[in-house]
Amino acid sequence: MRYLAVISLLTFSASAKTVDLKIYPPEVRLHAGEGQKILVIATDEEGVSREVTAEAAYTTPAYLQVEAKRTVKAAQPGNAKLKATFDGISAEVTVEVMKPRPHELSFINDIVPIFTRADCANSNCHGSVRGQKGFKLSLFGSDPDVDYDAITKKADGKRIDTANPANSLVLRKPAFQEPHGGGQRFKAGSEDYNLILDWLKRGAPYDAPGQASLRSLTVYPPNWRMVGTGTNVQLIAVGEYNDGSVRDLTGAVAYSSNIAAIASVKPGGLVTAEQSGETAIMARTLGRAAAVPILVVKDRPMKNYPAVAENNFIDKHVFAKLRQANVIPSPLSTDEEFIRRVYLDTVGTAPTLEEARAFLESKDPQKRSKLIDQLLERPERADLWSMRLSDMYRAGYNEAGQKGGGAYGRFFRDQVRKDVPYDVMVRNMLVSQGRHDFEGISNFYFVSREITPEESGVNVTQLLLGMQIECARCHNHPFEKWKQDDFYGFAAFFARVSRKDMYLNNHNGTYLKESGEVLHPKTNKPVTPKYLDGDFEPEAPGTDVREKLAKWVTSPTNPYFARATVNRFWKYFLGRGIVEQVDDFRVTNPPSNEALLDALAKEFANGSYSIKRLERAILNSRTYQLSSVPNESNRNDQVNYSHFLVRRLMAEQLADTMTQVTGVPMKFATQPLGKRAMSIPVLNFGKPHYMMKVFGRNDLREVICERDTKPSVAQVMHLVSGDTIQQQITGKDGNLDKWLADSSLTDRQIVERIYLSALTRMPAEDEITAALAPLKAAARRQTFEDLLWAVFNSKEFLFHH
Amino acid sequence: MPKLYLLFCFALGLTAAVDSDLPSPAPSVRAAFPPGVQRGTSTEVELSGANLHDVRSVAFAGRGVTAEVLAAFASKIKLRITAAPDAEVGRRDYRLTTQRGVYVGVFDIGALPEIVEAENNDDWRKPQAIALPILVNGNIGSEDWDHFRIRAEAGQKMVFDVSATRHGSRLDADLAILDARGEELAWVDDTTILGDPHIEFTFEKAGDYVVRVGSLNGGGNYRLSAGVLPYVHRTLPAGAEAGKTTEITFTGTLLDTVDEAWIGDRLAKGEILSKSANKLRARFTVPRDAPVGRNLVHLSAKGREVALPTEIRISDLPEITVTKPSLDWRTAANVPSTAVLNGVIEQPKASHYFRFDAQPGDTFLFRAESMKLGYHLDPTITVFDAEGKKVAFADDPGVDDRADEYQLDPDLSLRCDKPGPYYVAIRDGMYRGGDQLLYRLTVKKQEPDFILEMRDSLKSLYAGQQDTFQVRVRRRAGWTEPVEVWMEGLPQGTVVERQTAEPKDSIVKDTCGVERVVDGTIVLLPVRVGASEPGVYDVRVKARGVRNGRTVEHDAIVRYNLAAAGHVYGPMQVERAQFTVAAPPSVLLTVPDTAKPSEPLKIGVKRYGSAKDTALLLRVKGASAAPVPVPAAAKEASVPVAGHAGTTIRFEAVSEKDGRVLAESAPVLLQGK
Amino acid sequence: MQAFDRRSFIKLGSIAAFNWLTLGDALQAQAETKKGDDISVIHLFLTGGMSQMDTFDPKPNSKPEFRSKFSPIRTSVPGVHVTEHLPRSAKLAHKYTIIRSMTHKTPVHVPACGLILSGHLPLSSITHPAVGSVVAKELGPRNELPAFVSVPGSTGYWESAGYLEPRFNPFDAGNPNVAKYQVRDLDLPLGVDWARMDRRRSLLALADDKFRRYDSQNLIENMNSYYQTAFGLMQSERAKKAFLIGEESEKLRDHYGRTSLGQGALLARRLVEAGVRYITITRGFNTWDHHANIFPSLSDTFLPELDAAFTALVEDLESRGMLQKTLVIVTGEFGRTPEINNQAGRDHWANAFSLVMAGAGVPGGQVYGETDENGAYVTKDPVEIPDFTATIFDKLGIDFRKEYRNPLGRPTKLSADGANPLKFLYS
Repeated sequence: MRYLAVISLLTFSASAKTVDLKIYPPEVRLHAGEGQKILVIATDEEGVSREVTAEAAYTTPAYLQVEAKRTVKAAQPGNAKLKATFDGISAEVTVEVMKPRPHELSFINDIVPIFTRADCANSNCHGSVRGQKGFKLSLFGSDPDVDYDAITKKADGKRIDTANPANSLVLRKPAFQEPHGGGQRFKAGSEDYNLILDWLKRGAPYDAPGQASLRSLTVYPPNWRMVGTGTNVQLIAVGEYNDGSVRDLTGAVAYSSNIAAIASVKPGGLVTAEQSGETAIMARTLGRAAAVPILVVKDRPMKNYPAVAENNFIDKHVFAKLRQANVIPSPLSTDEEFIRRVYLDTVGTAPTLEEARAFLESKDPQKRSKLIDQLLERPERADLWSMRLSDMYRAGYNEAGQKGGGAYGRFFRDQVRKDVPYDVMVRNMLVSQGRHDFEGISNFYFVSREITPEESGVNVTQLLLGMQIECARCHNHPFEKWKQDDFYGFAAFFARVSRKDMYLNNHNGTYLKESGEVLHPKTNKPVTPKYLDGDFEPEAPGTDVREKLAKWVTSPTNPYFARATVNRFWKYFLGRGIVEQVDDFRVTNPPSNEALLDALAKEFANGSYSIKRLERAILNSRTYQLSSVPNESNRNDQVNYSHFLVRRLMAEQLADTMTQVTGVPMKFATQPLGKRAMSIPVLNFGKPHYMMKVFGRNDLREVICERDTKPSVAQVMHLVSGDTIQQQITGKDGNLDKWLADSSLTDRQIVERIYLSALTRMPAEDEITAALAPLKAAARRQTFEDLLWAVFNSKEFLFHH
Repeated sequence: MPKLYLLFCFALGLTAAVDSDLPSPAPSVRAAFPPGVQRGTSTEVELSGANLHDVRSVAFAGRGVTAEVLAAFASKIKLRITAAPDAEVGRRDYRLTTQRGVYVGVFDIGALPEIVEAENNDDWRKPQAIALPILVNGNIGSEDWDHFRIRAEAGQKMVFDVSATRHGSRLDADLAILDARGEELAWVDDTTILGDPHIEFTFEKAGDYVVRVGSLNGGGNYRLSAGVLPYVHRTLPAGAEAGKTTEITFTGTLLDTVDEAWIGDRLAKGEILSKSANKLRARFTVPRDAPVGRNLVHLSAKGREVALPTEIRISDLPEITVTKPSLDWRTAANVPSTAVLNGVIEQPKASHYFRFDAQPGDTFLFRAESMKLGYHLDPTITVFDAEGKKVAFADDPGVDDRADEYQLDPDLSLRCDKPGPYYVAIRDGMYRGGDQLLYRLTVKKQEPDFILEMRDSLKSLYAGQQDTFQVRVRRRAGWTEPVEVWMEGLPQGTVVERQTAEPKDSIVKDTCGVERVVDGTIVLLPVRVGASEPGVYDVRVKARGVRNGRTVEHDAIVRYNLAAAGHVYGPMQVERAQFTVAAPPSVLLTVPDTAKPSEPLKIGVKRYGSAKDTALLLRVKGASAAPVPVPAAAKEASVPVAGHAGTTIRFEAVSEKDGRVLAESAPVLLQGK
Repeated sequence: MQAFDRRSFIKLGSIAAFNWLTLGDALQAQAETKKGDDISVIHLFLTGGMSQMDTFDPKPNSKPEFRSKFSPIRTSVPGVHVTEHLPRSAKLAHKYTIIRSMTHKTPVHVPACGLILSGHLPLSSITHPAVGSVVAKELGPRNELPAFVSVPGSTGYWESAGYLEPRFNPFDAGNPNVAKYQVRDLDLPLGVDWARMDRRRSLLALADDKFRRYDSQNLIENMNSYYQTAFGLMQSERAKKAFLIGEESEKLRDHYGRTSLGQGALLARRLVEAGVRYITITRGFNTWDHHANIFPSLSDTFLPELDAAFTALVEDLESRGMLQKTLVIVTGEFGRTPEINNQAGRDHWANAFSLVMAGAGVPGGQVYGETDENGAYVTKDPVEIPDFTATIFDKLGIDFRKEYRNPLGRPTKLSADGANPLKFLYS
C-alpha cells in the first residue's frame, strides 16, 4: 500500500495519563477488497489530544485486519466491531463491510481527481478561466464534462492515443517525458500514471449513465487543536456516492492550507503544526470541498489558567475557546472606557458631560446593566440602527435618492423603535410592493436600475443568507457547491418582481407583474424556483411565491438566516465577524468559534428574533466589556475577542460627537441646521458633505459592501486643515464661548471639560500643563482651539477603545 | 445643466416644432404670490413669468372673483384680486390674455384669514409667531426653512396642512412639528398623491411649539393652513348623479363641529344625517340640469368653511356606493351594465368583483379613476368570463410624457364574443390596501367610440410661421376605424391640413432609446400662418370616423399642457381652446422690469427676417435721452437712463436707414438711487 | 515622545514621499521600476458621451435624419476629415491617432463610465479599481505629490480605488478655472501658522501617547505615516508650485481656454511636470449628455472648449519636450445615436464611437478603424475596451495580465482575459 503510516515523533513528556480514546470515522464503512484508513485520538487528563493510530493495539474479528496500523481491510462482507486500546483505555467502532463495489474504472471518480490532486486544475494553471497553452480543465474538477471534452476531443484529439496509450500527451507531459511548463506532476509507472494508462487502454471511455457520482465529502477530525509545534495529524477523507457506495478518498483529494506558516499539509493529508495561530486545511475534489479548522498552540495548557467570571452564554463560549488556545482575556474595561464605548454603540455619540459624570460618580454595583437598559430605550438608538440597516440594504440606491431612500431609512427607524422582530421585518420586505417614496419597505427590491430577478437573488443570498453566489451566475462556483442551476433557480423566485415606472414627477415603485419568468442562460428554458440546497417551489397560479420563500428564509430550520444575521449584528459591537467577511459564509471559510455562532443563532431564534434582546445580551457580556488593552498572552489575537478590538468610528459618530462637544451645529445640504448626521438616512449625492464622504459614508450605496474605515491622505488632510474642524473649534456661541465667559470656571476646569466630553476621561497632569503652557503667549481662546484641534485629531477620539 | 444624476429614461413630450428660432410670443406664468386670497378680501398679488407685458385681461372662472391690473412688465404683473364674501372656496382657473397669446393658470380662494410669511424665520430658535387658526402664504428657496411659533393647550388636536402641488406650486414640501428644544415630534414628506405634507397632532402638554415647513430642493410657494380645523380625508362616493339624491359619507377629523354642507357654488344643499369626530353623513339632491363633470363639495362649521374642499364628479350615470364588496368572483354582486361603482380597497391583496350580463357583440368601456380625484389607488382592471378565465387586463395606460393626465387611471375596452355573465375586478396595481385607496369604476355598455383630445389649446404663432397642433385620438370599446381630424375657427390666411389618425397606437422613444407604446394615436396637424390678422381666435378641433355606415363626430376635449396651465393635472373649469396670431417682430428687445438711474440699462437686441443685419437706433419713450446707435452686429446695447423714480419708460428700435419703428420694448420702471 | 519641531519635520519630509504607501509597498515598487516608469497619462474624459458623427468621424452622406448639421473640414493629414468646429484639432491631426471603431455593449452612463475608466463592467458586489488607482498601487508616487489626481474631482464610485484601499482613490484637485483657485485642505486654515500647528501637533502626540497602550494593531504608526505624507504635501514647495496655475502667462491660459476643461488641461501639464502619474479631467458629470438641441450646444460651447484644451495641451507638451513621455487620451464613455431624436438631440450609443490618443509613442496622423456611412456600426478593426486599458498599462510598464484577488476571492486580471495592447498605438 502506497501510504505508509508515519510515526509521529513525540517530543514531549508523555507523563500525562490518557483519559479518553476516540476513533474516526465514527462508523467505518468499506467495501470488501478495499481499505479504509482510520484515525485514533488519545486525550490526556490535561485535555491535550494527539494521534496514536500507530501505537494503539487493535482487536478485530478474523476476517478484518488493520494493515500497517492504519488501514482497515476485509475480504468479505459483514458487520463487526473494531476495538483500539492505548495506555489502558480502549474505544470501539462498528465496521460495516459491504459487498465488493463493481470495480470498473470511472473517468469522473478516478481520472478527474488525479488532475486535481496533482495540482494541474488549480486557478493559475489549466484550471484558470483561460486554461494554459490551450488546455482548459474545470477548476478543481468541478465540471467533469469540460475535462473529458478537453482531454479527448479538443486539439483534435491529439492529447490521447488509444492505439498507443503510453504515447498519449496526457501521460507524457505530466510524467515529464516531454517538455512541460508545469514540470513533473507524477512519475511514470506511479499509481496515478497507471490509472490513466489503464483508462486509455480501455479506449478512454466516458462514464456510462447511472455511474455513481460523489454526493458528499467528509474529512476527519472535524476540527483539531495541535499542542506543540512539529506535531502531526493524518487527516482521513471519506466520499459517499449517490448509489450508497463509499470510498476512502484520503489519498485521492487535493489538500491545501489557508496559512501554511501556521499548519502545513503534504499531499495525502499529513498535517504538521508550524507555529501557534489559527488556520484551516481544505480538501477538494470534483468541485466539492471540506475544511478542518486547525488551532496550533506552542506549549501545553497553562497550569495556573486564571478563573474568569462569565456574565452569560456568550462568555462561556468565548472563554472556552481562549482557554483552548492558552490565551488569557484582558481585564474588565474601566468605567470611562465602558461608558464611552456603550454610548457610541447604542446612541451614536459619546456621553455628554452630565451623563459621564453621573455614571462615573455612581457607586451602584448594577450601574452598567442599568445604563444599558436606559440606552436601549433612547430614540437615537433607532437612528443608529436605521443607518446600519440603510447601509446594509442600500437605502437611496442611486435613483431612489433622498426621497425613496429617506422613506426606507424611516421604515427601519420605525421598526427598530417598535422592536419589530427581525424575521417579521425580513418576511415583510421579501413580499413587499409599493411606491418607493410612500411605502419605504418596497425599496428592498430597488437595488438595480431595472429590478431584475438575478440582482434580487444576489441581494437576498448575500444579505439574508450571508453567502456570495454571484460567481455561479456565469459558471459553476469553483469550490463551493453552488452551480448555475442553483443561482437561476433561486433568482426564479423573483421572476415577477419588477420596477413600476410611475411618471408622477419621476418616481418608482416595486410591483408584481401579471407574469414573468427567468430563462437559464445555457438551456434558454424557463427555470422553476428552487431553494438553495432545497427542492423546487413552483408558483401556484394567483399566489405570490415570495411568500413561500419568506417562510423558508426565516424558518428556524433554515441553516443560514439566523447565523448570517447574528454574525453581522455581532460585528456591529465587537468589530469583527465570527465569520469574516460577514457575507462570505462558505465551507472553506469556517467560523472562528462555531459553538459561539451556534449559541447566538439559537438565542436569537428562540428570543423571537428580537434585536433589542440580542443587543442586551451582547452589551451585558463580559466579552464586550473587556478592556482593549492587550496582555502578553493575547497581544497577537485579533480573532477570538480576548480583548476589545480597537476600530475607527463611523463618520456620523465623529460628526455628532464633535457637535455635542463644541455645541456648534454642523450643516448638511438639504437638511435644516441642527439635524444630527446619524438621523439623516440618505444625504444628497450631488452636494456631499466632504467629511462624511472622506470618512467612508457613501450616499449612492450602489454596491453591496461594508463601510471602509482604512485611513487615507485626504482624510488626514481634512482633519488637519479642513473646514469641518475649523468651523467646529472657531464657531461662535458654542460651549467654548460659554465656558470662557463663565468666570466661575478656571482654565484647568475648561481643559477637564474638553477631555471629559470628547474622550470621556479626565486629562493627566502633563496633558493639563501642556495644554495651558502656551496660555500666556497666545490669546486664551486660541489655546483652547488648539486643544480642541488636538483632541479631535487624537486616535483616542477617532477610535473605539 | 441636466439634472445632476439623470439616470431616468423618460419620454420627452412632443414640443412644438417651430421651425424658425423665434421665441414663442405667448405669455407664461411661473408662479403667483400669494397663490390665493381669503374670500371677502381684496389683496395685491404678483404674477411672475415671461412675456406678460401688454396684458389685456385677467378673467377668473366661476363667480365672485375679479382682478384689476395695477402694473404689467415683461416678467411681472401686479394685480389687485377681490373675492366676494360668498365666492366659492377652492382652486379656480384664471385666463390671462395679452396681444401675443393666452395663459391659463390656477388660483386658490381660501376660507381662513391669510398672512404672508416674514422672512428670516430660518432659525428654529427665532420662529415667526402666528395666531391660529390661520393660513400662511410662504416661499421656500433652496436651503430655506420657515419656522412658525404656535401656542397649544394640553390635549388639543390640531391640523397642519401644506398645499403646494394642489394649487400648482412646483414645491415638494415637508412639514415638521418641533418642541421647545427643537426636537422633531412629528415629520412627514409626502401625504397627498403628488407629495403635499399633512399632519394631525395632539399636543400632550400646553406650551409653545414650532411648525417648520421645508423642502429637499426648495423652489416654490406653499399655503400652510393651521389650527383646530375640521379636515376631510375622503368623500365616498366621489360622484353624484344629476337629478338624483345621493348619500355621501365624509371621513376626516373634527367633523363633529360641521353644521352645513353643499356642492359646487351652492348648487345642491346637503342635509346632515349623522356626524361624529371623524365621520359625517349627508344627503344631497343634485338638480337635473347640474353641469356634468368635475366639482367640489363644501362643509362649514359655525360659518367658517372647511379649508380645502374635496373633489366630486357630477355624473350622468347611476352612481352606486359599494359598501359590502365581494372579494371572490364567485360571490360577485350583480351590477347594471352601465353604472359607476364607488368603493375603497381596504384590505391588502384584495380585489373587488362585480358581475354583469352581456350578449355576444356587446362592447364595453371600463374606466377606473383614483389619482384624478387625489386618492392613492393605482387601479388595475381585469375582466373574467363565466368560467373565471381572464379575458382582459389593464394597468397603467401608455404615457407619452409627464403631463399626461391619465397616468395611473386606466381605461379598458372589451368586446364580448360569448354570452353569459362576465366579471370585472378592480385592485391596487401593487396589491396594497388602505382607507385612501378609493376608486370610481365606470362600467358602460356603449357602442365603439373614440375620444378626441386637443393638446396645444393655447398656441400662439407669428404670422408667417409654421407649426403643428398636437391632437390625440384614443380608441374605446373596440373602435378600429381611421378617424379624420380637422380644425375650425382659424383666422383667414391660416391653413391647417386635415390628417387621418390610423387605428394604431403611436410609439414614442425615450432618452435611452427605449420604445414606449402610447394609449392612442398622436396626430400632428401642420399649420401654416399666412398674412392673418393678429388677434386671439376661439378654435375647435373636430374629428369624424365612419363605422359600419354610421358616422361618429366629436369635438375635441380641451386639455392643457402641464407647464402651460398652472402646472396642475386634470381638466380646467373653463375648457376653451384659443389660437393667437401675433404680428411678427423683425426686432425683439429684451429689457429688465426695473432700472436704476445710476447704472446703464442692458438691453438685448435680436434681429429676425428682413431686419437680420440692419443698424438700429434705440429711442427712449417717457423720458428724455439721446437715441443710442446699435451697430448691425451688436446683440446688446447699454443705455444711460435719466428720469425720476416711479415713471415707466419704454424703448423703440428704429431702423437707421428708413426710420421705421421695428420694435417696442416692454415697460421699465425707474427706481430711486 | 519628543514634540515635533520644524527642523526634524523637514528631515522627515524626505522620506514622507514614500508614505503614500506603507514602506514595504514603496520598496517593492522601487525594485520593479523599469520601462514606462517615466510615462504619465492625461485623460480628457467627456462624461455624458461624445457624438462621433459631429466630431472625429464626420458622415457627410448619412441619411438626412441622421446627418450632422456641421460639415467636415480637411485636416493636416490628407484624406482625413474632422468637424468644422474643431479647426485647431484639424491643423494638428498629424500629431494624434483617431480610433473610430471603439465598441462595447453598455449604453447606460454609470456602468459605461466604470467600463471605460477601469476596463471592467461593475458588478452588484464588486467595484473595480480605476486604471489610475492601479497605476498608483503598482508604481507608487514619484515624490510627495499624489500619483493619481482627478480635476475637478472624482465624479463617482466608478472613478475610485474600488475594492483597493481608499489611499488609492484619486486626489481631488478642485476646479482650477476660478478666481482664487485653492486645493481643498492643502493650505493651513485661517489664522494658523506653522508655529501654531507645531504646538498643536505636540499636544496631539501627547494625547496619542496615552492611547498607545490600547493599540495592539499599530494604528498609531499607520495613521502617523499618513500625517507625515499630508504635512509633506502641505509643506512641499514643489506641490505648492504645481498647483499655482496663476504662474502661467495670461496668453497661455487664454490659449488653453478659460474653461474648466481648458484650465484643467493646463493644470494637468503642470502636475505631470511635478511628478503626478495619472490625471483625469472632466467638466462635470454627464455634461456631454446632449439629449436635446445638441448642435447649438456643441458649436457654441462644447467643441470650441475641447478644441482649445486638447490642442493647447498637445502643443504645450511638445514645446516642453514632454509629449514623448505623456499619453493624452480624449474620449467619452460611449458615442451618441446617429439618428437625431425629436428634441433635436442624440441619445446614448455604444456600438461605435471615437477616441483620440496622442503622445508616449502613439503615431501621429493615423486613423484606425471605420464605421458605416451613418457612423452607427463598426465595419473594420473593432477595438474593445480591455485592449484599450491593456495598452495604457503596457505603455506604463505594468503587466496588464497581473491578477488581483477581488473581494469575491476571484482572481481578476488588470485587463480582462484575452486583452492585448493595440499594436497600432506603438511607433
